[in-house]
Amino acid sequence: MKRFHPGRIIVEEAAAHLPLTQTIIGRLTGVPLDYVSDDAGGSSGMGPGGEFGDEPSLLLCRNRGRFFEPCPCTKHYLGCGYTILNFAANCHLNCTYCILQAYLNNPHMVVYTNSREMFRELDDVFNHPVKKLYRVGTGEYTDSLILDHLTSFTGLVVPYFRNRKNAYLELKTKTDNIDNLEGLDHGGKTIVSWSLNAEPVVRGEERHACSLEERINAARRCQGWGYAIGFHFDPLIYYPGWERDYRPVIEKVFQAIDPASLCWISLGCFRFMPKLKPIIMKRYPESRILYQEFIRGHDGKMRYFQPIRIEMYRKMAEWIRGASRKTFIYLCMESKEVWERSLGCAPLSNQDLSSRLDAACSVRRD
Amino acid sequence: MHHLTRPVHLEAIDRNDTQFLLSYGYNLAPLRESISRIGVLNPPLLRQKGDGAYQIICGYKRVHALRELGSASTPCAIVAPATGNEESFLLSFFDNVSHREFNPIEKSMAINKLLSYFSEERIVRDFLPLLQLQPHRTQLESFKPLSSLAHAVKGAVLAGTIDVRTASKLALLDPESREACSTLIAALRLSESKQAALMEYVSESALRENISIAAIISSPRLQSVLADERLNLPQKGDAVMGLLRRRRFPQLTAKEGEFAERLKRLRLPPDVCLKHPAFFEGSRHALTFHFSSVKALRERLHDFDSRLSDPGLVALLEG
Repeated sequence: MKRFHPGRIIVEEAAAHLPLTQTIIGRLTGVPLDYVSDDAGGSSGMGPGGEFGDEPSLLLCRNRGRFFEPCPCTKHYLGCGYTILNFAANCHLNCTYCILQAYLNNPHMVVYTNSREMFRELDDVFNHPVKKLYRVGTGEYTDSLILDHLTSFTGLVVPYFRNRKNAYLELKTKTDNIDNLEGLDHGGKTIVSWSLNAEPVVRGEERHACSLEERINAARRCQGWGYAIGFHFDPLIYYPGWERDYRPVIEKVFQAIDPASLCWISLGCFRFMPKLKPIIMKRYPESRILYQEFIRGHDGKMRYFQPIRIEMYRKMAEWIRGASRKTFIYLCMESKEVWERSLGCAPLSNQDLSSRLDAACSVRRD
Repeated sequence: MHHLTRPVHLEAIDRNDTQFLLSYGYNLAPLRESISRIGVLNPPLLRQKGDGAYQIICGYKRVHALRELGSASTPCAIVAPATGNEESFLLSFFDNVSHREFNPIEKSMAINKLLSYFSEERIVRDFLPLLQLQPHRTQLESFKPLSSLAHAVKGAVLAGTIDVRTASKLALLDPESREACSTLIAALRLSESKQAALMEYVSESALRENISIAAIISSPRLQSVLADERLNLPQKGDAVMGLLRRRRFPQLTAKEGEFAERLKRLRLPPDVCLKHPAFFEGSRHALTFHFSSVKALRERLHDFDSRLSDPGLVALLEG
């Protein structure tokens, strides 16, 4: 996969002196550099759904808000108690279904380079915990590894989590940008996860991401370095004959990955805020993902009609369990009813699901 | 701005040059009547072209009416030959916008002509309010395609049988699909919301099934509804919308039909309404009935309680 390389670097003045800013600039010699006044970088772009060019710009700035926040899970479905670490924002993979098209309002790849403040905030959270265990992800507003060849962010954050007793880090990606992970002292506290999909979906809807083979190969390498592995079939895309394409992906996963290394496999059917629909229609008129049977869910998001979701989850779970009975499977943002009808059991509450996932973090990897 | 006013032969005016035309769908009869009684009070505004012919900046209708009345010439105001296109267009635009309201097609014509001279941002901000449109890009995008539609569709827009938003979507379709959709919508005289739903059903079904919109509209079942003489227009509209919705959402509508059928078999009292969860998402049903006293309520609850052992009702609620 082609590594992200910006056509322009925009640096906010308040971030210019920061070590991470300097590191990134040093790795991008020859790329035009513009310094802008504080908070000006984010306002000079296009609106939601703006198109990345071949050489998108990279904005280096301070994060003036919180780095750490609970995952904005919906109230109406079971949530997993995840927490998000915002070290960067945006993604140039341009997956057709990506929610960031509706969330973010500028076209830049953004890196928050005030990492010292980020770690101070993390220290504060973990030293005064309100939860027994934190599962922390960096892949909510960006791909966790898409910029790692420029930021070496994993070199900072993986060792940090190694020393936290009450926190696990999950790096979620669709890339094979894993070179920096080799040799890091992770202490079993970092889970590296890949978003997977059926081959036709990867080819049609995730065109700028790594191929399926590359993702699974990258997972196998990380497994070799002792990392716990996770997979997220999210979004599952329904189309007639989907079974024919999804089942082989599960087979490939278990041919490459030892179930003992697997923390979890999550399943989540494609869902979207209604405002994303016209954006996808405009940006990706050739995509057909919007035209299945969607209904408006309790949270206002468009979801597949429930029997379709249940059928997809049930079959996926059956294939996964056929390969490994012990692999922990969970549904992302689904109701108890859907859990029961597709997996045969349901967490009692958000807290129960959260506890089960906490337990899955400490999977045996010896 | 100084204009020279002098008589101009109507034959010297190039009526096919519509560069500054902002009128569509007008009725010339009142103007013809007015001119025949009191003459032209406000002379047309012209610009002389390189070939000597005159271009109309303002007054297409007046020139048209004068020709119909058999006039040979009329006093006209002539702008300086150096007057540019943008300036000439703005003369036309402000003259028109100052004394009348544009119809939707004319708004589209104005927007498209403004786009020759100004950015979209400027048009949205400065000109849409003058056209009595909200200064939003979506308004510009809705109205912009209307002037490219066929005369019949434009006529339906002006007659109110096709909504502006529907028409702007029609403009994006291939000619065959546009013809099929506009004919269907105009024939059924649907409300704005039903027009929007119909457009969504046919365009999304076409994408789902990888066939043309025209093929969906020409399906024998839909055509037989249209040809059914026992149905009045609203009934045809409902039947067509039902067919198209079932085609777009086959599983959901099948489930709705199954629920309705099973509910019917329960033979609940006529004032009892049992509703399934919205889109069958979750399991929260709703039950409504009427009562006028505590005693009546108690009786209704007792009646309903006795029905709870009906396997049909249990299956309906828990199935």
